[in-house]
Amino acid sequence: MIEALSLPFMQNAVLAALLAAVCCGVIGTLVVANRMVFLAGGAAHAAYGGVGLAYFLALPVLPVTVVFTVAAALAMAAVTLRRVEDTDTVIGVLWAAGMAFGIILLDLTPGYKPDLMSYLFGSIITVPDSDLFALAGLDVVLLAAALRHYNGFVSMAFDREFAAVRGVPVMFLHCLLTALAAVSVVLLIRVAGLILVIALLSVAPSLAVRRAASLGRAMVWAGLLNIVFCLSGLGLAYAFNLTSGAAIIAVAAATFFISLAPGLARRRQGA
Amino acid sequence: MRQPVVDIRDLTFSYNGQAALSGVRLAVSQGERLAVLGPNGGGKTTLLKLILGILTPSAGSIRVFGEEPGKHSARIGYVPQRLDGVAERKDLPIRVREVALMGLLAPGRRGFRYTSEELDKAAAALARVEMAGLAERRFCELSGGQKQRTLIARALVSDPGLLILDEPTANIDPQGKFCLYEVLSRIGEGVTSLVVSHDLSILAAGVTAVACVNGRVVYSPEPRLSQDMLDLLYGVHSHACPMDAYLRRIPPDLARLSPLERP
Repeated sequence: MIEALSLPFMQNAVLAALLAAVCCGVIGTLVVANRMVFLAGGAAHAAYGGVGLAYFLALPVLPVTVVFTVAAALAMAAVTLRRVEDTDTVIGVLWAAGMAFGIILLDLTPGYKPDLMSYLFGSIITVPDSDLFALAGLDVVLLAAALRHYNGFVSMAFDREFAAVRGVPVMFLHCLLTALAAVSVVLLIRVAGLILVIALLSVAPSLAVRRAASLGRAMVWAGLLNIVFCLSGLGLAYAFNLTSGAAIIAVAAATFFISLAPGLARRRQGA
Repeated sequence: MRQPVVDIRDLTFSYNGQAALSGVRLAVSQGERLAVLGPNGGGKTTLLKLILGILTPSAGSIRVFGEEPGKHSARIGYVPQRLDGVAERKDLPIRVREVALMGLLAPGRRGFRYTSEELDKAAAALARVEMAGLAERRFCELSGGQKQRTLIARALVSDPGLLILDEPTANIDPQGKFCLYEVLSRIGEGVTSLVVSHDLSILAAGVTAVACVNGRVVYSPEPRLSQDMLDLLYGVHSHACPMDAYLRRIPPDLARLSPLERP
């Protein structure tokens, strides 16, 4: 594994993993604490619509996908704010519609068509330098937003109604969190793929929030766990010639289920 | 004559065309402790949400500290009826001290650090509800009564002029209830408190009472709720559990009920 780090593509992969881990540690913890994992998953799938639209209109893929995904995510956020009882259904419909829209537009696009499967698992070992800079910029923006609005995010996660009564701009923070999650998803899909993004956004943060004393510490723990998942997964992928994204998810999922074992054992003893 | 802290005139509120409150008139003076009693669905929580500015009236007016609701959020302490499942969530890493500090949030506040003065205020508020020793504990690990006391500390931390409690005895055991009544009876004299409840034992906190039934606020003609009023509030069930039975369980020094002086 050590000799692999001398290879330029592995150096880029490790850097991408570290940057993605920080990003997912911060935004993932806020998403999990605010119970928005389904919304983030919906935004990730709706991103396909942006990819399809960009190819159909022959426009640059990244900006079009970012705008499309943020718009779709904000539509989902508006639903979660206003119609609580139908939230899951509407997000599910937008999730599926975004994907279908993207695939139909790609079918209608003449000439070269991208392989949508590559968006599912991504390719962390072929990350260009430009994507690393974009991820580094995203990390800076996320950390700044988390520090600036930390108390607002914490109070919103705990008791949205009370936060609103105290004058916390709940609607703004909800939309900001949704937009940041959507932008993170789009940038990370290029690096890590859709499925790995959802795993990094949900597995490590959900493990961290169960043990940490505060939301801030949970962000740090989630970031560190994501780093461990990514580096272990990359090591396994290199050693056994596996798909890197899938190997990282396998490590994360195995850790998640192992972490559930003590609780299940206690419950069985109690029964 | 001093302006009431809460002044409601001819208030009407409708959900989807159905009137939840109609023609409500209510004035709460400074320092008064008022309980709004009544069965579920009578409009009590809706009334509180209108006073807090969470809902907007369909007709009529509400003045809180002489202005529209929502203008004086810093002067209002609020204990909600439930926390949308947060109280049951085991995965939210928020400490008791952080919960108390949430009562100091204000519009335009930025950053993540609290000043030492704010930390002292939170410590004092937790001490008032006997939660100082659990300040670093995760909120989700507390018992129902401890959670409720923490939420009261959050409401008290800003030294509010108006304290609003929505069903504060819901989901806590009898011991937790009487602990809550003790806390409420010790709140400073200048603080106006408005408690919504369908639990008549809240009268142990030394409050006066009005009833909210079928979207209307009804005043008792007597110093304390009469059997007739109970019948109006709770129908046949009140015969099986009369008012005196509640009051006998209440420590005598806490059972001081002020006369109702209402129009």
